[in-house]
Amino acid sequence: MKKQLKKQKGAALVVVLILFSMVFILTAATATAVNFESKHSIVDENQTKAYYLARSAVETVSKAIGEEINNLNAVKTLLDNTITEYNANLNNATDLTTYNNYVTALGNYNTSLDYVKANILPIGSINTYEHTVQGISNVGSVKVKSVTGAYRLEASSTINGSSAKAILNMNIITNPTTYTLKRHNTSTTSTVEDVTTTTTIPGNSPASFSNAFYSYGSIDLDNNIDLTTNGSLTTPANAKYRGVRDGKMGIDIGNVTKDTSTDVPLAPISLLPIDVSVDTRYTTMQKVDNLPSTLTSANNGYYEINEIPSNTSYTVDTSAGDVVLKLNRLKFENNASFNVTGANHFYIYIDDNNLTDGGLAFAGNNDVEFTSHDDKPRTFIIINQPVSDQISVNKIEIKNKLTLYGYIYAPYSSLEFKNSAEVSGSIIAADISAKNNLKIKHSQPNSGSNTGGGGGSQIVTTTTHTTVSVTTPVTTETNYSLDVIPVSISKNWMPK
Amino acid sequence: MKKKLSKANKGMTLVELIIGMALLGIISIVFITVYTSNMYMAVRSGDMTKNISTASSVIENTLEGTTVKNSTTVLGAIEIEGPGGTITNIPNANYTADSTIVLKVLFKGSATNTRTLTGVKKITINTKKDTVNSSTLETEIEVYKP
Repeated sequence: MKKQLKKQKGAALVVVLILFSMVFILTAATATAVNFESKHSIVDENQTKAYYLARSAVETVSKAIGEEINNLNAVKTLLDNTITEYNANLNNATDLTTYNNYVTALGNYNTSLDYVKANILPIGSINTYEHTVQGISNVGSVKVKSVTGAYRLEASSTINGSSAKAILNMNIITNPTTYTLKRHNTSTTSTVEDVTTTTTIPGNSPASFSNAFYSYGSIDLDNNIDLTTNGSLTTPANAKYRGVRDGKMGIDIGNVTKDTSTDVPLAPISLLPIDVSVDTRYTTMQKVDNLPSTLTSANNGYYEINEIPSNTSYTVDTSAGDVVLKLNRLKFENNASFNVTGANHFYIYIDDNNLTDGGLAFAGNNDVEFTSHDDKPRTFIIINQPVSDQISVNKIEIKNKLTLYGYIYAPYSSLEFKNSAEVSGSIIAADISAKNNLKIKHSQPNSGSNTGGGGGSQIVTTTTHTTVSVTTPVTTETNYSLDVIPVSISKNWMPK
Repeated sequence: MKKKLSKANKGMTLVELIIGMALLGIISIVFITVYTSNMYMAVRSGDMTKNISTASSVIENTLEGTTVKNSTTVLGAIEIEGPGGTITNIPNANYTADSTIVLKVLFKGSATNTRTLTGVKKITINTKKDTVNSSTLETEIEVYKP
């Protein structure tokens, strides 16, 4: 029996094993595929859930950006309306108001645009902004990137370990615009020009120098008083006073009479050929140690000078025009001379200096000369002391010798000649006192620029450097470039 | 005669057959069980995919602005308004929308530069599929529509 079994060559087990193997392989393969498919379905479900959460976040940020841009457009509409209103009102009374509204609206738009650029949309070189959404869980921040021709919004979400990303391309079409802001305005240009005016001093006014001397107050005349007309040493000249006459009651030559006029003196400044109250050259006082040895019209100005040094000679060249100096005071040491050359005149205008020397002082026993090259009276010493000052304290004492080819006009100052004075011209003062040797050869100026005798009215020609302002209408244009004005927004979702 | 018969018997013995049948039976039981299980998983997987697809389709329609609502005529179905006003019924689906959601966008994450969106719709789509053995497979997808 055993032998027989050994001889058997049965194949049942082998066949079973082979079948078993084949079925096992098929089953295992099927199981693997099904298992994979099953897991994939779960992942797919989670990914789908994650995608829609991510998409929700992107959609939310997209909507928020859209609202911000709508706000920007609302500001832009206000700007447009303001521009329309401004253009309609140009040149009208409301021009300025609408202009200011225009500027304000433009400023508001720029502010809003700057806010969008800085916080909402990465416009320009800025690459990425990350916005977060509160209220949706399992979603990260929404990244807003500036890509070519669009903005890309993307967000990721993870559900049960499965992640998904939602991407939205947001095309914002913009219309860069340049606004031209026109503004009608005026432009004022100032130039310094010479303005010439003429003033006529009536012949009966003392300021016309129609007398050898004229005293608004009293006179005190003593020895050797000669008042003659110019060109004659024997023809007596007239002189007048208003107050009390004292001293020697007779004079050698001259007709001194009392004047009953009560007219107030002409303002000293009005005798000047330049209105120093407005002329730009006399605005600022310059402090100097001494005057230039040669004075011309180029030196016209306002000077503060302590005193004229001893033994000083000046040449006053008037060939280029009148020389007009405004001084705070004029004080002489010994021996000074001014010699006027040229056809015009030399004016010394002494304004109130608040001193008691009357603005014109002679310190020593001096010999002061104001001469001219042709012996014509070409010097005007004009002293302005305010009426409120006491005449007695504004006393000008000429201590020794004065030679003057010209005029003194000091209607508020007391003038005392202590010794010798020779005047070819005329003297006008508040009080006049002459102790010895006052010789006046009367000569009346014809006008501001001519000399010579004769009576009648005087014409003062005033040429003044004056700032003249010219106002012209000007239209200014300013361009404002607004680079981002959103026109339309379109959205395209990228595939999952 | 006996020798001839015994020498000529070269087929399987009864014992071999019995053993073979027994082994095949055991193996078959195991394989059938596994195979059945695989089939069940495959069907479930397919149903899940169908659920996701259905829910996605409904959500896309919702986001596009198409009218989506629970059917008033077919219980447990969603109505989608198609072109020309026709209605498509999607069975075994439920649509809910909560319009009271408030979302806040923090620009650049800053608490000072924010924009609040109110009246945001939170849409939930629930789709069901009956799988083998009468078990129900549910898929729920949420989306926010600002």
